[in-house]
Amino acid sequence: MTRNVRGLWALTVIALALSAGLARAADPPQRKKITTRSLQVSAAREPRFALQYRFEPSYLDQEAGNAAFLYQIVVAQMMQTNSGNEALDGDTLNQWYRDPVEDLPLEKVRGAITRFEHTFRLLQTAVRRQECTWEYPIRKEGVPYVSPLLNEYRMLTRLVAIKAKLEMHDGEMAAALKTLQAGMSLARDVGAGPNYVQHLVGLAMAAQTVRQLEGWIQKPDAPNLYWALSTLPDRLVDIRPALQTESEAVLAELPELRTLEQTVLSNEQVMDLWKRAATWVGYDTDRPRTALDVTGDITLMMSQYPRAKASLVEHGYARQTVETWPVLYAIVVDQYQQFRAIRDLVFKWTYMPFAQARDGLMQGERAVSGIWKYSHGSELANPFVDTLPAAYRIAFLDTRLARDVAMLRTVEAIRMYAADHNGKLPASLADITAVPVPQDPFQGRAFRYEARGKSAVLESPIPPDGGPRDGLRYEITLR
Amino acid sequence: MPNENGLNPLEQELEAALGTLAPAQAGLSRDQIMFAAGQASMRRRNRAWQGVSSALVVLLLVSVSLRPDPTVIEVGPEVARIDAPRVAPPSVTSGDDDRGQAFRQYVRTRRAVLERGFDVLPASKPTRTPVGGPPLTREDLSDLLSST
Repeated sequence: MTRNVRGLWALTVIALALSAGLARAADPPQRKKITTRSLQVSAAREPRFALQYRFEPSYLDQEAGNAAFLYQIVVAQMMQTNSGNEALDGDTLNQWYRDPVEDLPLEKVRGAITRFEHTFRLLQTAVRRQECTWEYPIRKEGVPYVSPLLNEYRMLTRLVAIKAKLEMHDGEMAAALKTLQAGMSLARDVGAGPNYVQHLVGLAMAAQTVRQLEGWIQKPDAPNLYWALSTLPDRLVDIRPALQTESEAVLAELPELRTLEQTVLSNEQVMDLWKRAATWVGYDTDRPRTALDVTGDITLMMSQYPRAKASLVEHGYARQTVETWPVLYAIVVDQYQQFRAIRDLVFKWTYMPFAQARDGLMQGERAVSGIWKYSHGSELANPFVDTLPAAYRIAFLDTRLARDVAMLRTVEAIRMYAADHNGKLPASLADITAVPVPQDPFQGRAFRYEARGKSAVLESPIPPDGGPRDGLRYEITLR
Repeated sequence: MPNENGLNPLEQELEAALGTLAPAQAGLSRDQIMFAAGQASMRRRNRAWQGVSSALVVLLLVSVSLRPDPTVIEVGPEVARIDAPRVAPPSVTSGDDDRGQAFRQYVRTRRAVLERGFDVLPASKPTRTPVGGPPLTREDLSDLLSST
């Protein structure tokens, strides 16, 4: 073989190998698959009595009393019922919850649900209580353990959802509405609990209940629920009780922080305070300290002290005053003030609509991680910042539930339009003028909508920082 | 007796025998020999190139056939947080460690729920035996009250 041919042969092979590698690297990532559901709906005007259907018990049907206490009894009753040889396991329950009603072993499911009749009756009584106060002694005892019954509340919600599914299948729409009403009230009451974990459980329960409405609106003669959904608050599950508690949890755990800026602590007192805070971040306070540990602490204190002093002076403290303070006191005051600034930065945006608050929430997340960067490797890190929750994610999940409700309201507005326009779908959402069409709370603007004859697509795109579950597309077909 | 060339009779006989042989044409020329030698040395190098090229082809075919399916990239919401650094104060006796542990447990649970979902929450499993025994009947209650 001549030298030229050999060289050409080698070059060809190398080129082929490289191009295959580049082709692999250049494979475009698959588009995120948005959650898509098909809805076959009929036109439906608003009811003659616009507020005939509600997701809250009527005022006159309510009774004095605290629902929280009764909810505990309902759960106990449910657990009592779900014992013995016919006890339902979680997997079975999840499957019955997820599967379409057409795929369920109906007789078996009916038999299982019937066993919980007493539980459902008690629940109907509980949701009619005028108030729901969880009465955790936080101010006195601090943030409590997470309620051990939260998973049981989730199980109760699944039972309620399956019951509603069966009722809708049987055409018992009034009964189904009553069941869904109870499920919604339960979710909202649980989610209004005084900590974020309970709030998140309430969000999930509400989302599961709202999801059943997709079955409702597909029934041929389903009443229009536009106003029933519109009377619900924008934030279906109230986050304020949890916000208040979480923002002050550190003060509940270390009451001396409330007067820290007014009462000078000795170095020993600050050490004691840090030691108690150290347990939050998992530090083993019983571990014997070595000479190296002590040397390290002293070195870090010496490096942190000038920074703390400068920061305090910058924020209005007289230099002479700060210099009279014990070294560790100056450091802990600076730490506490850093924590307060970041805490308020994080929490303030939680009160705002997500579309407006997104950048602020991310700024809060960055500020928290900035503190970690500053303190990383330091054993005198700011322990207070670690208690701050992932506010961005919680606000995101709140907004996702609001989006789900808004999408259903939009579908109901479309059904209303079709009823008033000879069974035709609107060409665009702007054509709907009889009722306000909600916006996508993720985007702060209208949902995407495209009509094609007797069908339409209504979509809330996946948010920039979300996954497939966070977007939603309805493929609507009008009967 | 040696002849004029100094050869003895035996040598003369050998000379005569050799004289009957005719020289043959040479099968290779110098040039041909030199070329063949060079060619032999290049053959070895050629085999090395062929070996490398073949190996690359095999690699190419294997990599194409084993190309993984494109994966859906799911981007979760950012949670910008790193592990908490430790606080190391000197050991000083203080009270209420249980309360601090409870708060720590809560903070951890909250983070775990957000990162991994609700399965991290404790759940009671359905009992296959009735909880608390058979339910009390009126007769049981009556017996109980009359026995006190």
